[in-house]
Amino acid sequence: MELVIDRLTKHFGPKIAVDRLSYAFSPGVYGLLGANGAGKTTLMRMVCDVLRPTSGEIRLDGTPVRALGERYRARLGYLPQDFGYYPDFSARDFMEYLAALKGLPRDDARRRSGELLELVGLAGEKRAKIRTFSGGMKQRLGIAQAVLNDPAILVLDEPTAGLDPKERVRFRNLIARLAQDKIVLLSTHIVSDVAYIADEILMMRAGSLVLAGTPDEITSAVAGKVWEAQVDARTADALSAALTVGNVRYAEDERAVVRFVADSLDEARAAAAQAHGAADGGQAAFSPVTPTLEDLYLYTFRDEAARGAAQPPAAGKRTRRGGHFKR
Amino acid sequence: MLTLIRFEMKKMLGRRVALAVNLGVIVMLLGIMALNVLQTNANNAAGDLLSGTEAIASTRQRREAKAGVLTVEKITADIAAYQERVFSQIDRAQMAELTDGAAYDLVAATYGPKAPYELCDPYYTFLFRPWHLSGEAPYQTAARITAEDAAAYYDAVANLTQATMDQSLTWAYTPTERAFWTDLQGQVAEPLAYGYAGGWDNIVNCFAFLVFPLLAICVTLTPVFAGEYQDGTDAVLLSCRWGRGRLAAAKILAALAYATAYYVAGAAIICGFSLFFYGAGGADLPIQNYDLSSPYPLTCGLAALICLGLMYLATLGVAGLTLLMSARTRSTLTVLVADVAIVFITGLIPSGGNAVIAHILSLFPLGFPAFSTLFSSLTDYPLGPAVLDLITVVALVYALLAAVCTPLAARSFRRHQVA
Ligand SMILES: Nc1ncnc2c1ncn2[C@@H]1O[C@H](COP(=O)(O)OP(=O)(O)OP(=O)(O)O)[C@@H](O)[C@H]1O
Ligand SMILES: [Mg+2]
Repeated sequence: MELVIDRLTKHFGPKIAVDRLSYAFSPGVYGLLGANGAGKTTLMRMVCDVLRPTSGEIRLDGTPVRALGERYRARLGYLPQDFGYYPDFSARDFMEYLAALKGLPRDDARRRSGELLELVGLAGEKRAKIRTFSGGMKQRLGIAQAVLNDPAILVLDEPTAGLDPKERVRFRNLIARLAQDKIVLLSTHIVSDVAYIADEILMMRAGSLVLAGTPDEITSAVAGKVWEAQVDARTADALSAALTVGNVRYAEDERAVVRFVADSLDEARAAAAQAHGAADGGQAAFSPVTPTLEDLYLYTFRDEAARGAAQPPAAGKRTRRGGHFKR
Repeated sequence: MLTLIRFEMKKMLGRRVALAVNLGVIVMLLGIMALNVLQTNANNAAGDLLSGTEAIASTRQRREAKAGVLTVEKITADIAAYQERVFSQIDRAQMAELTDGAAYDLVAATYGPKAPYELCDPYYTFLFRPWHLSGEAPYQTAARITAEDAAAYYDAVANLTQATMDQSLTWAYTPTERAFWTDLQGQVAEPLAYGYAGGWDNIVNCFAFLVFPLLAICVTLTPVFAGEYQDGTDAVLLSCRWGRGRLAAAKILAALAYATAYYVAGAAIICGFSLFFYGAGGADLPIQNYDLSSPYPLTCGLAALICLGLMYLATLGVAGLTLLMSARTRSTLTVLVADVAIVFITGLIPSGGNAVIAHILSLFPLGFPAFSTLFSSLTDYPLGPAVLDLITVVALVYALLAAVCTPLAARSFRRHQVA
């Protein structure tokens, strides 16, 4: 089974949400990472046949999915981001309704709904109205409905949003178990969620794929660019402002361990020096560390963060020139 | 498919607003019909003012007492007998000159205080209709009816249709239209039969209340599609196997099945009260019993059926329109406001004496449901060489609306894009 995305494009007026994106999926788990607005949801909607692309197409084993229509959707499972529930339905009603929509025979629908509710830990609440559910319970119900028809292509848009750590672990194991012989495409902002279970990571930026590969492959791209420095708190702040900083751990002695990504160490030294004057900055201890997927993410999107930070002052300047502020 | 329809029903009726409105309207209809019975007033022959079931019984008894086939011989004899009775002690020429009040006083002074009531039996009001002038009592009209008039009774009845057309201030009837109505009137069977058809009459008078169920149906159907868009459930539904095919059909079928069931419930309340309290007899009497000037060759039972049928078509038409709007917008409020505008606001717009506006307003759900508008106002819509009467046009408009909007609604949902 192969799902091919071919120069897929979606415009919203002048805005290009997905830009000539191409990729070939074979069975496996794909983690889709990208900043807010990168186009993940838009891409997934098109994959799930609920949004028509502006151009390009999706093919399943060589046949355009638009031509497959209902036969394609029959093999699809989808958990949308921000997805609505029927508050007056019980969990079981909801599952049986979707089972009917997915074309499951009635007995199968019953059995499968029961099994899946059990699997996502909602067996005890199957008679309860969905309006009484917590966010995480709804999310679990959403995951359960997505796999009702044992889909060959499973698309999960931020499936772990709202799950507590225990549920997240459970969810990861669930996906790993369900993923056999399936194409699983899941987006998330929680890098560690996909680091464990994804066979491949896809990174999206501004509607395009910027990186794709196994977690090990792609993290090697930032090998030698991740550092930790033990500095005092002031320097830590300065580094945070100037560099792409991941974790900052504050120790008891007012010192901090800063993890950051940078193309070269000189860049970091310069930033540290600027904060303190050459004296102390030059002496900070920088040591290289093994990169993780999160480091890669930060590295890939470091411009985005910088751009985001640069915008407000510019807007502020315009306002001042317009004379809205008293001098 | 049945499972899908069942769940769609559950969604539609599970909403609290829908549930409240549906129950509320049923309770309101029951209330309206109970009041309709309780507040019926009538004078009996002795002049006592009766109300409720007593009034109904009295009217029934008075009409049934005079029931019969109105051959010209019977009409002539009845008119002569009536004139004999009134003008035995009152001068006929003098009566013709009196005002309504003075005539009443004279009758009461001459024959006793109860006589005016007895002489105002509904039969004579009905019988003297061709010569009746507004505000008159039958004993005044009787003063002007000659023996020749009585002998040409059915010509006088036919002339009522002509008079309606002649006297219209806003609509100039073309010869084609005149021919249409004249023809239709010619088909009214002679002799007419007189009698009591109170239950059927009451249905015709009350079927306009079915706009309340119509509105409840609109409220219930508004979120059928728009609610899915609004709540964000569309993404999952449309990605399902049957999401773009059977689901749309299931929604439409559920909507129409519910609308039909609810309409039938509303109609059953109106018919139930009417036929139970006013009696089910007289279904085969001609509708001229309600209004002699009506040119329609219909029985009372058939007229009631036509009224209910038109309202049902209107319900389906507006339901179809609601579904279409629902499928094309995300905002349930917009749909509801549009529905209220179509159903109620159009009933409040005055036509200002403009015939074209009046003809258009007559097509709306508050425009057509009245006996006189449908059956005796002679409202027609000339369409080239053809002339269509209001009943036909209302039926066509709403059948067309339902037939066009419903599939379009399904199509819009099938093509809906989640963005
Ligand atoms: N219906 C729409 N109309 C206009 N623009 C849209 C629409 N839907 C999405 N966009 C734009 O397309 C871009 C991609 O949005 P999308 O929702 O796909 O991003 P995302 O990667 O899923 O973001 P997030 O991580 O916040 O969920 C965004 O800039 C968004 O503003
Ligand atoms: Mg998204």
